[in-house]
Amino acid sequence: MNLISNDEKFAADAIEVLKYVIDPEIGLNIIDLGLVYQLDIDKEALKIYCTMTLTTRFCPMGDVIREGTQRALAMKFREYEIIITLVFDPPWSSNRISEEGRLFLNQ
Amino acid sequence: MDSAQHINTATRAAVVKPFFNYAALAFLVALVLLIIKSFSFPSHYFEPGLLTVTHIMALGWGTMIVMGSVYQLIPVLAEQALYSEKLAVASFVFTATGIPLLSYGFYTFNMGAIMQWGAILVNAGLLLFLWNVVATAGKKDFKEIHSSFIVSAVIWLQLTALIGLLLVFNFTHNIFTKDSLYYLSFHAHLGIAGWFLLLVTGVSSRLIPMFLISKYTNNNLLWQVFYLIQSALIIFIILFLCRVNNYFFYIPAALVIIALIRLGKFLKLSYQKRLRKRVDGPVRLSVTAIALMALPLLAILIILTGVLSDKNMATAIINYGFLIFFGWVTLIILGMTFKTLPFIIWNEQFRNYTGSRALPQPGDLYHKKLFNYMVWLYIPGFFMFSLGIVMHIKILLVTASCILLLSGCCYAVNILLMQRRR
Repeated sequence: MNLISNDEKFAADAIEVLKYVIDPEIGLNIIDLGLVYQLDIDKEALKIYCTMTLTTRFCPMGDVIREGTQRALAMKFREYEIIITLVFDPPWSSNRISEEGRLFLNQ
Repeated sequence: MDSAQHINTATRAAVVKPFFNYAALAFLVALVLLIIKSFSFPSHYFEPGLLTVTHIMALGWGTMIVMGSVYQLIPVLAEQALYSEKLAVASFVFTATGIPLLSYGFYTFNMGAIMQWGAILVNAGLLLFLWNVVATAGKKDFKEIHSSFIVSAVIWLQLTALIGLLLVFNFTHNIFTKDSLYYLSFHAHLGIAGWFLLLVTGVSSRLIPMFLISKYTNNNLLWQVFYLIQSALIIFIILFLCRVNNYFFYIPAALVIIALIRLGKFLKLSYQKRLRKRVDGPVRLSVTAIALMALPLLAILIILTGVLSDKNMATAIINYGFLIFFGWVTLIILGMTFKTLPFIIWNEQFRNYTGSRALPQPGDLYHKKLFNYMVWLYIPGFFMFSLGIVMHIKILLVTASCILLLSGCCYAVNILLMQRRR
């Protein structure tokens, strides 16, 4: 999983809840799909930064995925402000899908 | 990393769902009329019942459901919200009111005021549709291939409808130099190739690779398909208006055949490079529909050859129309409905709960068994009916049309149940 973070413990907790956010078009969660590029936490400013992408710029479910990510992180880290940044550079590619994700798609 | 905006572009389900429901009702009406016609199947295509069924299938079924889907899809492609949801509702009201009036006019073969008002209302509805689509996609770079397919298809639709309107008035006002029957193939082919073929090509080349999660992209190939179909249409218009020898009509037919071979190559490569190995029923059905485009193309070559030999091709022409409207147009709608409508319903019912708990997926919202019954009934019914037309076997036509109606009922019940899912 090529996701970067400034805090491993926080990243593990965040990943756990983000696995509930499913791309409804594909049926796979955004972590195994490789949509999340970076998860950072600022414990002093009480802010969480999530940098993520979509499978395509024209993803019809883009807003749903973004809102779901925001909601999942806000429920887990209640005292933190969640800042989601959507990027398309670098673009998502299927190489980002995890081994678990590939198994799911091959079922 | 450059950040980017992704605004909420989804058209509200309340705007889109009436198009799907109206289309399902029109489909059932057309199938009931098909049963009625089966008992005394006509030997010529310019016949009230056949004209009624054709227009209900083309407008009430095909066009209405595609309008609903385009209102959903064009904001996604244009990366901005629909220009106006009010215009979309108005386009529904006008078109939905016009279609029964027009159909009643055909059924009673009364080309008077009711039919004329029907044609005017349909044109008004489609004009609002065109306005909305162009205003939504207009700010976007027109070099985007899928938007280009959709926008140009909608322009061809408006042209087809306008010619249809003039043909309706030509029955009573001598607008053209010849009678309306003469222009029927002109009107029909602008609609079939300009509206349905361009649209199905554009939408399927976008959605099928997306649903398969394919790594394959080749916009050059799709542009070739786009220009081949546009060239075929323009050449067809020139040939028709210049009243040249029928031999020349092989040219646009050949261009469409090359376009579909190129599209087939694109879809084949998309399929081969897909990440999702298990292909679901709706996508399989949509791919089958595209493969079935070969049947009307074969039929048109037979018809052209027959016309050149001065043979009576009326039965072949009826079968050609059936293969188009009940074949690839209907099959792709049957397939794509169960990929698009579940998303629309899911977006309406569940989007506010994503990330908070495990949710059903869009694909869980429809009944798989009912979908399978629909397919297993429709495909044999379709081939039986086509055989019945060619062989003039009444019992085959009646049986097949009843099977098709059963399949239509499975479809209608499935989409109604889907909308009641909470």
